[in-house]
Amino acid sequence: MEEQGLNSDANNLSSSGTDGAQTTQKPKIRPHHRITFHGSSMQYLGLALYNLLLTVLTLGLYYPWAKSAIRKFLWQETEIDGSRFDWHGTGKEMFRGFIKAYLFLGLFFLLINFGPMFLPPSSVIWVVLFSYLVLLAFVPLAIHGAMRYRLSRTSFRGIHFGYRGDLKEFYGKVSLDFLFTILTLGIYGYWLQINARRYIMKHSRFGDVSAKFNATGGDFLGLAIVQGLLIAVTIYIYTPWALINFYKFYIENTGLEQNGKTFYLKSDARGGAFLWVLIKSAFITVFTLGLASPIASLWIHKFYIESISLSGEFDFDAIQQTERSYKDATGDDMADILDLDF
Amino acid sequence: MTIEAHFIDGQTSKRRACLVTLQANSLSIVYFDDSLQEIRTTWRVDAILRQDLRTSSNYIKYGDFPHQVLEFNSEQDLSRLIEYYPEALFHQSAYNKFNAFGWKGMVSALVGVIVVAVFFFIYGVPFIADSFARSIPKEYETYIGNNFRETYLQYQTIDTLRSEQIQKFYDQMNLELDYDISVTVVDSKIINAFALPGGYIVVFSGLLEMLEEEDELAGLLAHEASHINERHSLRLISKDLAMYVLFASLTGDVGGFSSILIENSNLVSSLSYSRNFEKEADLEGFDLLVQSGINPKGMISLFTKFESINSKMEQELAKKMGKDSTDLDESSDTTKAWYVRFIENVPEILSTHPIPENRIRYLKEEMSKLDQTLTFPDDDSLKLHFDKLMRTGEIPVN
Repeated sequence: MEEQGLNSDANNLSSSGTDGAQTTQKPKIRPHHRITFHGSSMQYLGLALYNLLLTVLTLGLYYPWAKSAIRKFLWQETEIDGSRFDWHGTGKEMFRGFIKAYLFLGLFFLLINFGPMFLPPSSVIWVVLFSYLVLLAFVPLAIHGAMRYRLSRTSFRGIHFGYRGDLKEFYGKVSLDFLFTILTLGIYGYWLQINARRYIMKHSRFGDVSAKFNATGGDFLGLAIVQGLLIAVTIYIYTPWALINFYKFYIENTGLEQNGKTFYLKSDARGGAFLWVLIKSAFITVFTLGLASPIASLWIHKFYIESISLSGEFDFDAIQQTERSYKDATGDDMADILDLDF
Repeated sequence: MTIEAHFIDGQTSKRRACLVTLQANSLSIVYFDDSLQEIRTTWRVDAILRQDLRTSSNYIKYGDFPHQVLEFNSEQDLSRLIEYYPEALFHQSAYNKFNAFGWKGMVSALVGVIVVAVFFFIYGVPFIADSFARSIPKEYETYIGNNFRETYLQYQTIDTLRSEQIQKFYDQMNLELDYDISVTVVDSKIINAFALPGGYIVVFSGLLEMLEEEDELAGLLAHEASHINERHSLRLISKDLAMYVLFASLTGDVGGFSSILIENSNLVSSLSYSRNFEKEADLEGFDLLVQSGINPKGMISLFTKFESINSKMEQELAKKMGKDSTDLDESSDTTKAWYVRFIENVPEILSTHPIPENRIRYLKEEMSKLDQTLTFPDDDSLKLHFDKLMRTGEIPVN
């Protein structure tokens, strides 16, 4: 059933297959699918300035539109197997979520910070502690909402991504892990993170393709210990290499399941090359007094994303549409403000 | 015009080679399905989804979810389509127009950002902050100030006797203010005094000990009371807050929120007002004194005192710094004592009440502007309270 090449339709209208796969008859020796990123630094800088101007003029209200445009740019410039990703989210959609998240978080920060002025000094510590706990309790909701929104607004060749996680179930798992984390003085936090990631991946869909995350908290703790030691021994010189190892840990344990077969992502990023990108980025940022910082962040983004590849056996042509559209954007902006990147 | 492309039907991700024929108001698309049946479909140009961000991608989408997709073989092919329908909505957007200006657009945007930011920074933020601070009801302000005061005094030794005495002195001054003022003396060598929102003044005994005349104390209290009357603390906090909100909304970061506010709530005792606020408090304090028939010259002599301490300290510091640094380690006890004094006593008042030279000058100018026939008869009861206060200081406090 995998006989057909990517562009080998029975008719001969197609004259320009982008990956040359149509001549290959044996699926086993298909080349890897590689992600390429085509975004122009100058266009990105222009977009950042345009966004900044409108954000300033509207006293920040333009922010959701700015964010949406940036995502659109990043998604549309990302290519695999000859096709681009697409971001369907709109500023209008995110605006409501943005306002809700801002009001909600604003209220809490006001309470935590201004509360002490209105409260008897002895109760302040408890009120602040309680506020932080309440805030913490909203983190799973924020992640859940962000995943639902982000994935439902992402598509590739017309096929939408989606998130099918159940909020209650997610809360149950995370709360239990959080309790263990406290009881183990934070050590179980490695499992907390990885278990959450496993849950999220397990419930992520790309049409009829499902995702999974293969590592355990133990793997993560082991990696953290080794990388931490190497960083300490080399007096931080090893940091870029360690960051790349963490990145590869996340990427290479992520698999896509198609027709009962799991294909793991690969990353061939290397610490040395990453260090060079970081140096270049720091240089251009400092040299332009921060003006070109969007260019620097684009370089880093390109470096990360272009290191990813996927087995050629994965068939990007045979994915079935399964998702419905989904509207509420609150979770998405909460995640952004709390700076959670899952 | 006909363009080769790939058609994706929205049900599966399969790309099917197709021919797109451009007609007046629609695209006619021909492709073959899996059973090699020729399929024809038509896209209305006005229902092609808007691409409000033109990138190097080369697809267009159509209709409701699940969208159909046309992938062109190159960006040029997509451009041909766009040029064929120059008025069509699917490729119109403000950003695409901006992008067409290239670097000129970028430079204009940059200049725009700077102009707007400077405008907000200079006019917008202070205006919003001031209106906000002034709109807070007085009762709230007093409540907030009292909370600050209680939190602060928890860690201080209150000099009850002198607090009573200084309060009597203040009441005798009879200043005309919107607030009832409560003055507290804290037992400390620090030379400082500050005002809290809603009517609270805290004076350190270190400062009291350097006063010689009742006019000086009256000047000090009038100055601090003016800070309260003009709501300087709240205006300052809300200015920081407004700056923060401006900054956070530009960067989308709410994380920095806490740091700014915590700083403000904890360091109220050393809030340093802007020079404008200090000048405002000086001039208003001056007027208040004149209104109440108290000689405002005490204010000048108070600041002269501060300044002379300041310059003395600077001289001493310069002298010490001039010496070889190894000297410092083996320095005599007196030098050490001096350093301790320097660190403990002086910087406090100087950091919170900077004394530019012109401060004394403009007060002297105010003096000379006063009606020369105006006299300030000695207020015996004020003097009496002052003497009592000074004598209270001599009683050792446990």
